[in-house]
Amino acid sequence: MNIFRTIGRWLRGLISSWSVLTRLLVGMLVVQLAILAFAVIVTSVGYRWAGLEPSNPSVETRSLMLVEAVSVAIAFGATASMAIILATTLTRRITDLTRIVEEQIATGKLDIALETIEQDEIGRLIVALNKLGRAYRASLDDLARRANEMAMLNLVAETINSTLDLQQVFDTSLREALKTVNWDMGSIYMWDERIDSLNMVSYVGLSEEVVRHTFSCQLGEGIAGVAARSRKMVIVDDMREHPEYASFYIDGMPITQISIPLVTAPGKLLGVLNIGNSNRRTLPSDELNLLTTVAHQITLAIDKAQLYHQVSQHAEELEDLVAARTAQLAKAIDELSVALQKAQEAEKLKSLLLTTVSHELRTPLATIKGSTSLLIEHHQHISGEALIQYLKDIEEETDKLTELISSLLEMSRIEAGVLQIQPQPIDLADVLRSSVNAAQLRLGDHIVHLTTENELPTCYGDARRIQQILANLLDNAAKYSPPGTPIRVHAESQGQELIVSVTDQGQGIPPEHVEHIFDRFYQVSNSRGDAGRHGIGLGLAICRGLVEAHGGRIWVESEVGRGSTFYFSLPAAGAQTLREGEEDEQKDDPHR
Amino acid sequence: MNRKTILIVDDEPKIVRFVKATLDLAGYNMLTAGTGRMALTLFESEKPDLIILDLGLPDIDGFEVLRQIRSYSTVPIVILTARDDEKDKVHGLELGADDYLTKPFGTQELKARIQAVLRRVEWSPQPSDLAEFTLHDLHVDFRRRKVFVAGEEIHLTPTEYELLRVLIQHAGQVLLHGDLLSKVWGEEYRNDLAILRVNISRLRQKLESDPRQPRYILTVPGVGYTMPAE
Repeated sequence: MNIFRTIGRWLRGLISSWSVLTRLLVGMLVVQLAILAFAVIVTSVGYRWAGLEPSNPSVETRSLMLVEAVSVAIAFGATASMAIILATTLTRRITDLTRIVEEQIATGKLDIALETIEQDEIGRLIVALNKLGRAYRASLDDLARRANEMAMLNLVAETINSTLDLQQVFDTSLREALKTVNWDMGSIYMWDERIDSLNMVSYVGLSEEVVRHTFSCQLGEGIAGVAARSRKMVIVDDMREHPEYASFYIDGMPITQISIPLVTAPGKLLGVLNIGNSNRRTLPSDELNLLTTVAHQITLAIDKAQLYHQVSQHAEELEDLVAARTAQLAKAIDELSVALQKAQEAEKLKSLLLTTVSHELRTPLATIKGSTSLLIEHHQHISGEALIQYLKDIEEETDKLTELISSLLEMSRIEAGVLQIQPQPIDLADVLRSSVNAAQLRLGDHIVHLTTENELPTCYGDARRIQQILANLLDNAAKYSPPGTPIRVHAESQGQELIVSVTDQGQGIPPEHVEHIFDRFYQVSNSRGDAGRHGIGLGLAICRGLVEAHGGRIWVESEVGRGSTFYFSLPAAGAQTLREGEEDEQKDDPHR
Repeated sequence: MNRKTILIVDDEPKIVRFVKATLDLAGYNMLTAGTGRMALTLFESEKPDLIILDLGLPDIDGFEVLRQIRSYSTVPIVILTARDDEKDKVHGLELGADDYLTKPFGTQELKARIQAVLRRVEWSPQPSDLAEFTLHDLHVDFRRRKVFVAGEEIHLTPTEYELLRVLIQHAGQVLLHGDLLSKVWGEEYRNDLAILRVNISRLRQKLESDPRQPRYILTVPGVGYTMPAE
C-alpha cells in the first residue's frame, strides 16, 4: 500500500509542474494507448471467436484488418487534433487572462474591469474578477475617506489642543468644526452652573445683532438650550419654518443649524457647539458623524483646558500663598535677626559698660585707696605740701567718681525716657555766655570765643540743660585739641530753629567713627592713640539725649587734622508755640 | 644693701605719685614713665631691677611694651592695671609678666608682691648642696644659675627659674598646686591657680621638645605637678 501511496505522491508532484496543455496531451495519449490496446485485444479475441487465423489471414481478412487499422488511425488523428485545438484555445485564454491580471497587479490597478461575451467558465471567471475589482475599489474609496476623516480629526485635535488658553481653545475649536463641514456660521456656549445659564464664549459669521440676541440662554431655551438639557444633538433644517424654533429666528441667524451638546465622559455638561449655515443645507450622515467626533474632541480639549485653568489657578493661589508665607517668614526672620542683633548689641553694650565702668571706677579708686593708705601709713614722713597734694588727688578722684555716677544715672534716665526738662522762653545768647565764661575758667589752655547773630530769636528750652550740653561739647573740644588753639561757639537762627555750633582745631574724627560718635560708650580713643584721655564715652550720648528731649538735632562735621564742628539745634519760641498749636488741632480733630 | 630700682609706667599722674612715694619710703629707687616709649627708653638706659607696668598707655599698648622687653630681658615685671578681666590677666602672664595686680590695690599688697618677685630673683639657695641637675637633654647649673636644653642655654624669667628650681628640688615627688604656689610666689598666692598654670605652660614651651607630651614637668591631674628624678 505504501508503495502505491509513494508512487501516487510522486505522480502528483510530477503532474503539478505541468501546464494544462501538457496535462491534456499526456492524458489523451494515455487514453488513446489504452483504447488501442483494448482494440487489439478485442480484435484478437474476435478473430479467434470467428475462427479466423490472424497469423495467416485471407485476403478478406487482410482487407478488413486494413480498413479497421485506417479507421482507428483516422479516429485517433481526429480526436488528437480536436483535443489539441481545444486545449490550445483554452490555455491561450487562461494565459491571456493571467497576463492581464498580472499586469494590473504589477501596475497597482486592482479595480479590474475586463470585457467578455463568453458565457463559459472563463467568461464567468472574468465576471467574478470584475466584481472583485469593483468591491476592492469601493473598499479602497472607503478606506481613503476614513483616512481623510482621521487626518482631519487629527488636525482638528492637534489644532485645538495646541493651546491651553481657554479662549483660544474655544475660538480654534469653532473654526475647525466649521471647516470640517464647510459651513459658515457657528458659536460655542459654555455652561455656567453658578448662574444656571449658557453663555456664548465664541462665535463665527454672526452679526452683532444676532450675538446680542443669543448671547445667553437658559437650559431648554432655543436650540442650544434644548440640546444642553436633553444632552442630545438637535438638527434644524430650516429655522424659519420650524414649529418650535421659528419664533427665535431673526435675520442674520443661520437657516440650518445643528446644536451638539459638549458633555464629558462622566456626564458633566460643559456647553454647546452650534454649527450653522446661512443657506438651507442637509448634512450627509458621514459628515454628521465626523462633526460628532469633532465635537467630542472639542469637549476633551475644553475639559482639559478648563482643568488646566483650574489647576493653574490653584497653583497661582498656592504660589501666592507660598509667597505670602515666605514673605511672612522672611519678615519674621528679619524681625528675629533684628531682635537678635539688638540682643547681641545689648549684650555687647552690657559687656562694654561693665568693662568701661569697671575701668573708670577702678582708676580713681586706686588713687583714693593708694593715697589714703600712704597717708595712713607714712603721714609722719610726708611733708605738708605733699600731704595737700595727696588730699587734692583724693578729692579730684572723688569728684571724678561722682561725675561718673551722675553721668550713668543721667544716661539711664534718658534711656528710660524719664529725663525731665523744663523748657521755657529763654535768651539763648545769655545762656551761652554764662556757659562759655564758666568753661573759660575751667579750660585755661584754650580761649573760647562766642559769637551770636544779632537779635537772636527767643529760644524755647531748659537753660540748665543747654548749659550742660555746651559744657560737655566745650570740654570735649578742649580735650581733643592742642593747648593754645581757640574754640569757637556760634549761634544763629535758621527758619524755626536756633543752631549752636562749637568748633575746635583738634585732630578731627575719622569718617568711620562719625556715625557712632553719639552712641553710648563709643570711644574713638584707640585709633587716636589717646587711651589715657578717654572717659566713659557717655558725654556725647547724653548731649544727644538732652538735645532730642528739646525736639532738636545734634550732628558733627569733621576733618581729620583740621578739627571738628559740633552742631545742635533748638526750637525757637515761636516755632514751639506753633507746634503745640498743631498738636492741639490734631487732638481736636476726631478724623485723625 | 643696694637699693633696688623700680620703674613705674603709668599715664595717670596721681597713681604714679602715690606709688612712687610708697615704694620710695619702702626703700626703692624710683623711676617713672608716662608712656610706653619712655618706658622702653628708660629701661634701656637705667636697667631697673623691676618694672611696674600699666596696660592702658597713651602711645603703645602695655602688652606690646611687655612683649618687647621680654624679647631680650628677663627683668621682673608686675602688671598694674584697672583691667580685671581674666583673659587680660592670662594674656599678661603668658607674655611673661611675673605678677598681675588689679587696681584698686592696697599699698601693703603692692609692696608684698614686689618683694616676692624680687625674692625669687635674689634667691640663692643651696638646697641639699644641689649644684647640678641633669635629666634627658635638660641640664641645670645652679651655681651659675644657667639652664641648658640639648647643650643650648635657655633664658628663663626669675619666676620661671624659681619654679623650675622648686620642681627639681622635689624631683621624684608630687608637688601640690597650693604648695608649689606658696613655695614659688608666697603663701598669699596659694589659691592662684591661673598664675601657676600659665608659668608651667611657659616653662614647658621653653624646655620641652613637645610641650603637649612633656618629659620634664608632668601633670598629676587635679593634684599638682612632678619632675622625674635624675
